[in-house]
Amino acid sequence: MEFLLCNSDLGDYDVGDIIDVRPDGYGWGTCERDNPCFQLVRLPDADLDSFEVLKERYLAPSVYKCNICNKFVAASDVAAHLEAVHSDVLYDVLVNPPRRKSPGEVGIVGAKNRKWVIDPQGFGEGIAEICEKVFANDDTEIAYVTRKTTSVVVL
Amino acid sequence: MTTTEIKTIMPGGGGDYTSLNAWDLAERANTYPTIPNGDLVAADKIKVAEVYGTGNCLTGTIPFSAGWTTDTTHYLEIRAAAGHKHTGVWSTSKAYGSTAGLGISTSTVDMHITGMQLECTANGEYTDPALSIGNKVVVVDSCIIRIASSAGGASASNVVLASHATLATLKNCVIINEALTPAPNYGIVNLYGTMTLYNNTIVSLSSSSQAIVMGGGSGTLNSQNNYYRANSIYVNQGGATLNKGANDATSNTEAVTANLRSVPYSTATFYDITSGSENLRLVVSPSNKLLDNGANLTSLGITYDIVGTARPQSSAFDIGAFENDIPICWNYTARYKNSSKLFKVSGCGSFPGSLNVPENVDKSTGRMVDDGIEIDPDNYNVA
Repeated sequence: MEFLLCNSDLGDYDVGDIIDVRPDGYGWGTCERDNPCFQLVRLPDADLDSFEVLKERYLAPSVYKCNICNKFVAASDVAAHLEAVHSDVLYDVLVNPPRRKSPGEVGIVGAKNRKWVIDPQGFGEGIAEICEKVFANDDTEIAYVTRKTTSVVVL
Repeated sequence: MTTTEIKTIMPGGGGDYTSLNAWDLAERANTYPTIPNGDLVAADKIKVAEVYGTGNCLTGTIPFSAGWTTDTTHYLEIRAAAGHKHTGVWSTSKAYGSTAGLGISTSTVDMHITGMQLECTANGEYTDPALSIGNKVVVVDSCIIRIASSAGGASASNVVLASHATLATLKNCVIINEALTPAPNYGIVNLYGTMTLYNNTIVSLSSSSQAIVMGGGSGTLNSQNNYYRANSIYVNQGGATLNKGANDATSNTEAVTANLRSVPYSTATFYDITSGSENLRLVVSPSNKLLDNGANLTSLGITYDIVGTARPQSSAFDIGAFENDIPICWNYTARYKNSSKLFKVSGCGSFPGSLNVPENVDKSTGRMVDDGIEIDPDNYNVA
């Protein structure tokens, strides 16, 4: 598998965040291959899982950002977060009967997509860890959970 | 003078980028530090992504949420490359983007999207439309935007969400919500912004579907020449302003003009309504109410349809995304060599593959027996 990694602070992405995952030998664009913003690495270990599962695992939004309180919330906790913290804005009282607002209307619309990182930075050829970045409710990083240790090749 | 910077997005490789996500990230960063924060206004630039039909151009949500500064003349444009635009029917061999969640979210940038296909394959309520429009000026032209039939969601799904749009214009687009469950499903949800809809075909298929949902109490909708298929067409949940078009047509009885009510979403109106492969070109028939019943919107800049056919083709605009260029009724005349005799046929609808020719014409050759002499036609194209 080949990974397009963020190599500089790009706002939504931090250094080391995974932007894209593709199969080996993928024809990356010239502006992706030769760009200080990006780093291309390959994980030769084929037992990580199928390509489709990898894409879902790495790229599917799993952490949402609440635009009201700016805290990160796990996708599974969005409803509970709304009830616990923003119950005052959860219902639209302008309509009859009152209508429950969606997370998007309340303000939870941004997905922090880069749950997974490859660490350590630098991406030299050698051993790396695939980690899960875990956020506390106050948006601080509280843990890295190592999922896989493997070797990487800089493309 | 404003300069335009074009980058190619080729998902199959060989271009500048393989995804719109990478284009978004790198292009705003590449303006730094001489032009901080992707400021297209200060740079006097328009940035264009030309998408090729060599695969899916979306690898996840494209939020465009930070890092850009734009205005109405310095904006981002996502468009299908020449030769890679759809032909009016969804095709993965043409420029497209498909995601299992939110597709393109314009968020805080001015943007034009032209000739693209956008799809959401899994949907969860408001948060995952195929296109989410933020609080700037967005123009969507000649696109196919859909929620796939396979999509499911928490309680509802919608194709296009305009949350806080300053001004969103959708024209010449096919917007389809194929999801049958959960219900209700929506075509377009406009919460707070001003939205203008010209010559779109908007279809929502679920049993309790709604075509246009206005919420928040402050939005405005201006609608003209659109065809809507849903159980409810104009839904106003608050104090929004709904300017219904006199030339809108509806599948139910909500159309302003009586003649444009109850236009069936069926093959009597459209070529093919098969879910997933809809071809919503207009059936050429004198009974099709979408033909020639639209208002002339030339002064508003509507001069072509979703596939580039000039509008109008006859005396008036058609309703919906497609402008029919086949004569509703036609005359065919052939004049034979060395004869004053004419071969005349008339009909209505598409030009037929075969015609009932006069008895004095040899159907295999087109030769006509004229006073006992066989005469060859100038042209003989009728099977």
